[in-house]
Amino acid sequence: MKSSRFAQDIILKDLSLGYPGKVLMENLSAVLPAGKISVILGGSGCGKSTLLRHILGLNEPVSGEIFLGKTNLTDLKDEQAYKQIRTRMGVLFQDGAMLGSLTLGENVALPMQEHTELPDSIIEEVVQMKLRMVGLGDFMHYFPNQLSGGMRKRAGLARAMVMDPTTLLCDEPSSGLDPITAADLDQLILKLKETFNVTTIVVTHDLDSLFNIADHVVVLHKNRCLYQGDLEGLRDSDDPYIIDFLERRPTEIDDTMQREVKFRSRI
Amino acid sequence: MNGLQVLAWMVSRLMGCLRFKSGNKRSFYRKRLYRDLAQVGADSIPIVSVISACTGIILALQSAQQLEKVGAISYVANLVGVTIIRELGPLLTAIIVTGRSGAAFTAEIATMQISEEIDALEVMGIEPVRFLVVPKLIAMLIMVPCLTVWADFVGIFSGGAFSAIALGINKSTYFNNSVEFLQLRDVIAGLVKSGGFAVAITIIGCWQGFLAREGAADVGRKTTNSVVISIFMIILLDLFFTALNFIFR
Repeated sequence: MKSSRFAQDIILKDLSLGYPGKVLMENLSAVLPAGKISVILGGSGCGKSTLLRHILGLNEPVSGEIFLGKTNLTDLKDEQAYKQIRTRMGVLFQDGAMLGSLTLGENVALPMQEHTELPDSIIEEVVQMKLRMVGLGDFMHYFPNQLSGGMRKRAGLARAMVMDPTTLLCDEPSSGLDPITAADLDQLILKLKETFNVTTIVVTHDLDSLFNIADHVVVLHKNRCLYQGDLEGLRDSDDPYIIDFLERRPTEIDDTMQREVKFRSRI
Repeated sequence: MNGLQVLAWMVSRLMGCLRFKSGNKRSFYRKRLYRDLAQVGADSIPIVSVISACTGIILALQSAQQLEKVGAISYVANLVGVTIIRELGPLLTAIIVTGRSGAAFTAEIATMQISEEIDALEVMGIEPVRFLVVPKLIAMLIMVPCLTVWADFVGIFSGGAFSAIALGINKSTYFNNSVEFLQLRDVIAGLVKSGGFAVAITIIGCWQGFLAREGAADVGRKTTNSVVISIFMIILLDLFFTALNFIFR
């Protein structure tokens, strides 16, 4: 199977997903537009990262379909076909997921060494270029445990971009980072989108990141999609959960605390 | 996936990797193999040497006590040689390698599993079993028999040296008796055993690593399970190989 070298829409069609005995999302339909940054927003445990794992084929959906352009990813039973599609996808995992036994240079080189016949000298050049692109040009021979969390995530981005993917998926890129480092990472994601025209999906619950980078937003809450559209529409939404979320107003915790106060007053 | 499904998944992928003829000749696979060879083999030599030397001396002491009563102290060499080559050399080496390398395999893969490194390999299109398990299996298949031969040599030599110094047995008599009494078949049987142990330790160590799910505590649990199951399997395999050797004697 030949995969397109151009950015493509990701289309989720009546997607139900979850784990055995637990459905996290029902009948989710959304279009994540090509060449744009789509932010998947939602509270902790609502299934954002699980959705990303389904797009990557790490989990099988309960029902429904996922398309990358015209390719139905849920129909790809052949490992080789999925492997080929994955070479066009770059992924930044939540903590970078850099292999601890390899240096940054070796980590970033891995996909090229696996999927190309290029000589090691060329691969080293490309790796150096990608590490410079994320500001880690001088850290090629460092091991991941010698770097800060933000640096590991930037290295993860370099590895995600090393095969010049058409789709970039980022799982909570700003989690655990200070505001300045998180903003730097947001700028890097924007720069990558503009330079390489990649379809980018960012899973986050960080509102600063959302307003910095989003072209398109999908809000997930309680097994369903509450909203999809642009930032303007999100700001104008009258959905109570979205208003609470954007105004950082506690809801469920507040309810729980009120219940506890009532319970204590009764005893 | 439950435990047995993960085992079936890993073994089927391992078979797929072994069937894959062209193979990736990239340097990072060679590097991983060299690293595993060093970790399983070279790094284990000191502990294997010490334990084999002690075992040789213990066997010489125990057998001398009994054989002295019947005036057959010169047979110490035969007893030490046969016990070490046929049984204790492969068994003790396998148990040491389980504690050192089998546990390290589990801890490494389990940590990679919970920090999404295995998922990262999958999405990079890199087969995790080929990347992680195959170099370990090759390293174990090469190094465990080598360590067993080394353990046999150190055990017999230390038993001989101790017998010469403490029991007054003539050195050349001891080593002549050892060489005369032992058969090539005994050495081969010991090496076949150690090959079987190597496969069992690698499969169990990696399988338990892939099973880790629930954070750091699970890494500890799976590492303990790996050592316990491996030792249990080593004893069962030892029984099987010894019975086979007895039947076809």
